[in-house]
Amino acid sequence: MADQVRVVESQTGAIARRGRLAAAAMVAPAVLLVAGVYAYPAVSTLLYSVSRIDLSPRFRLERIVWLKNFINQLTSPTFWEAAWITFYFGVMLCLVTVVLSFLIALLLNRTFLGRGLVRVTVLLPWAVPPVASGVLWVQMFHAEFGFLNGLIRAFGGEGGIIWLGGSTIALHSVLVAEVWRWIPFATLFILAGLQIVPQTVREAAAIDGANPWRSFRHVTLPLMLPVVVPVVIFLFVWAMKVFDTIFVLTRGGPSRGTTTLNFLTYRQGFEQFDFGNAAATAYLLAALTVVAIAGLGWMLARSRRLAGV
Amino acid sequence: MARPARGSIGRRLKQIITYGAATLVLVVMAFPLYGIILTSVQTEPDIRSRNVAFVPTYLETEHYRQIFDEASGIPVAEAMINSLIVALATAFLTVAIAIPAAYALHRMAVPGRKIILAGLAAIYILPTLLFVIPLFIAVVQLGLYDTHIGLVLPYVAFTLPFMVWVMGSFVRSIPVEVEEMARIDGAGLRQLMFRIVIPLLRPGIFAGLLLGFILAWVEFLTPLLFTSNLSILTVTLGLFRSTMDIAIGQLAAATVITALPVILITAFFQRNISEVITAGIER
Amino acid sequence: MTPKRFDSGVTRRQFLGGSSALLAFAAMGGFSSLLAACGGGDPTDEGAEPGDDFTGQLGVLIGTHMDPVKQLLEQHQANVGFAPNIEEVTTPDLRTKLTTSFLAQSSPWDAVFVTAQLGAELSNREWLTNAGPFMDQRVRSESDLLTRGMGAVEFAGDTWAVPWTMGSQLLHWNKKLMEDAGLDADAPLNWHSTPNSWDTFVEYAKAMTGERDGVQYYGITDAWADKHVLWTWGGMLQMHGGSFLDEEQQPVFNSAAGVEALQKLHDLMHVHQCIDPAVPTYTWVFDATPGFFDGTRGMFISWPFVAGVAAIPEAAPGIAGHSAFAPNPAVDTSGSVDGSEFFGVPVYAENKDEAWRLLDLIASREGQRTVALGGWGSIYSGVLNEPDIVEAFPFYPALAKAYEYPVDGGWSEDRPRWTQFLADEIHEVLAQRKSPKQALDDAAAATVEARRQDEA
Repeated sequence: MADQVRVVESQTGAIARRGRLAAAAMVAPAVLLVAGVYAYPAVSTLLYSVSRIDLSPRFRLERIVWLKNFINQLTSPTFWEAAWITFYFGVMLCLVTVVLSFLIALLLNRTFLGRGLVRVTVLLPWAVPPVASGVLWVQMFHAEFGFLNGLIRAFGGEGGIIWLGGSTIALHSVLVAEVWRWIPFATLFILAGLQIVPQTVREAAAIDGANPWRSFRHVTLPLMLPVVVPVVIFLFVWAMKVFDTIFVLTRGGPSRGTTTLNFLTYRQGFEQFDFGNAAATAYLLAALTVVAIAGLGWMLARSRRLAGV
Repeated sequence: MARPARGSIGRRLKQIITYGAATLVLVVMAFPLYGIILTSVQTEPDIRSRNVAFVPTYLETEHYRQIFDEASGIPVAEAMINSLIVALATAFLTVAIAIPAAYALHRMAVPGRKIILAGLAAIYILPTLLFVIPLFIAVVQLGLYDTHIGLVLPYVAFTLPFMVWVMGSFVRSIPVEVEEMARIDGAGLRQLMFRIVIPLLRPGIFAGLLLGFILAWVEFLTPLLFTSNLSILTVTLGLFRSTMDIAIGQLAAATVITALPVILITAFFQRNISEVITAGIER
Repeated sequence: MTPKRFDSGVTRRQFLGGSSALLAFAAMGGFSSLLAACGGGDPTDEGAEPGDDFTGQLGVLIGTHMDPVKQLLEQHQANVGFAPNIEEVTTPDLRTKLTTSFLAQSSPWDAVFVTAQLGAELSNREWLTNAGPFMDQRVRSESDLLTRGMGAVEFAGDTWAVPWTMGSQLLHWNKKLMEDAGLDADAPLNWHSTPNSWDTFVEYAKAMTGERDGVQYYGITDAWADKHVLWTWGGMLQMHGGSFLDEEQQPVFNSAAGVEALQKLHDLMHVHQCIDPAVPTYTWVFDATPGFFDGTRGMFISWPFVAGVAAIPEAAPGIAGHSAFAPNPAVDTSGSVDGSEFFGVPVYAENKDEAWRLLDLIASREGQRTVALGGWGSIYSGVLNEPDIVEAFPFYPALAKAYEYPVDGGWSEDRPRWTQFLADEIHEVLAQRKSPKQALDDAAAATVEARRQDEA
């Protein structure tokens, strides 16, 4: 970081001004494109959220209703049910993915025959288009001829589990599919982190007589926190927006059991064409995401202080 | 093959655990993919049978033939080409725009630098699902409806923030001293970029192109509603839209076809891709 | 993690101020252009009266399943001398496709496929041209039109779309499974005219349920995920004499009839246990068909086309040759929910008269023979009963018969919303978390409350 500041400081007067102009010109296309594609819909959608939209016979802002759409949502049990499901799903996705990825990364950090193959295989789910992975999990979870029940039967079990049948089991089935999809990203990230924990530090710990767990707990883990936390934040943001898998696997059911806030937004917006309430829901979801990330950031700062890093 | 010199029990045990874990990871991660490939080469009655055969006794290529059949009514070849065009255009445009932006943001005095970086990251928190309607109306009004550009622009915009971040970390890995020496030699900004920075960034650029291509190829349900209205079919969309019917085998074959290009790219260039995904980390 | 010092000519506050102004501008600019674009004159009803403004261009949006319509389009091309521009869409995608396009005030198509569900929505939003004059001249003049199949597209005396096929759900069954269970496989033929035959239906289902030679058989299969449960339940509601909405379009599905119907639906799963327990996960008909076609599910309340597929040995090895069908069983009466399909002419269409010319062919008796011979129910009962057609498709008379019983779907503009409430509450009952009465009352209350919020 210090090197950049040095560059900035080394420029003076006219050169710096010309530099700023050139720099602005270099950044402009990216900023303009992103802003053009996002800012306009973002602001329009924010307007929708405080409006009543009429579609008959044409899309128009009927009137501004201020916070009514938000109040509708905040007073609706459906919203809170979805908010809870979303939050639970996000926390579970982060937890399960990070723990599994950490274990896989620890494995991949060792030398063994066939490591390259395992590495590629772990990476593959990332390359499967979301809808394709949806289709694939439909085949996995099918109650009658699905692979999971087939596998259970192959090992002598009953194999009659209806994976998407109840609210709770369906939510966790979706979770399994999503964890599978995000393990590649998290594993790579953590693996890269592990590789920069200097081997010498761990060896030093080993010489000091620390057992593997103690060396993991007191050396690797604190050093890894700065790597894990961004992964968690990234996963959480994506968990908040999970859509494809739910759309393909459960359509939010059974009985709203997998209706996350993002899916509720879809229902309100594109099944009921109630853009006002859908926009309010979407922005409440964004708010929830921001609050949760702020919480994570606070936890990071705290854990860093505790770990003395 | 590295055989342990001293066959202590602890070492042996460690090895068993390592290989056991490796096998478990391999099987669990590959199982769903294996399942869908298996489904695509079995006959419809077998697919629907309770007796799942985990090792196929025959290979049925009928589903693949049907997908590419004229009578299916889906121009698969055309859709493939459309996808290719859109993904390539997205990859090149994104990288071309991201490099100068990343360089400027990390090595030059850009007005509002912090805000721009934060804003680019914050984009991903916004409720993109809902943006489809205003975006769609805008695209129609700009006359981009049914054009490749109408597809590429949103993809590029969606990929850019991530790409700027990734390229940024590659830019930061270039030693400042190299640039300073070039400057002392009197190189202007343009020469600096084309003679020094871009050549040094080459591995990053290649990885960035791969990433852009994959993200664009894979992208299609996020803007479900948006792309559904474009008659220029991309392959992912086309295959799924049209085979969502009774035939599970065809759907599985379509899934394999759709995922295959990106899976191959990932397998071949896994080092580069790993590098890009984890680019932000080590420096 | 960011540089400690940032040296720039623009202070952050200036930049923030500037960018927020930019955003506000973009928002206003965006909206005014949007509103301006939307203000482009009323979508008029011109073209409602079919004329002869033939432009020699025609865009058609059809469903991927509409083979007979494709055939008719070829015939049409030969008649008019130019090739129509045909686009295909799957039924699940249709809604978003039409709505997003019409929201942008455009329609690349002159005639569009419309489901019964969509008919109500689109016509209430005035996105379809009034088809009344066309229907009066060309279709209603035929005395044997199945008028009960028109409910979805008729409002306030106007008609908004032209039917191409009609169909309500029928009872399909596997005669072999029934005989194996020692049942009279022809008895279901008369259930629709036998009050309280529902109970016999349940007895039959129970008799067919069980494990034989390591294979699990169930008496009934269906697709109940999400809103799909409303097809069968809606039929049962009307079997009890109930209906979804009253004449003022207020919800009355929580009547005693509704509660009784829901209790019966619940009992299939939890008391009689004679239905495939995975039906709440089947998101559409094709999730349920595999079990029925491979001969492990005895009865299936579903669309007429199922009978056509069930007759093909390659597609349905477990039932071909043993497939039978009839109108649904009865409680007070038989009942079903209409699933007819239509073509509408969007108000934004540019070649409306060409569209009417095509629909003229599709709705003609000759066109309807093509439809019926392609495996889809004709809109005229006469065509459904023509001997050569019945010989090819024996289930057509049953279909015509089904339309003698109630087939209402509760069509209203906010149907997507209240059906969501209703379906969610029905699933609460199926998951045994609520009583039928409570669930239906909650759905009705949610419907009324949502409408009240609309008004507020």
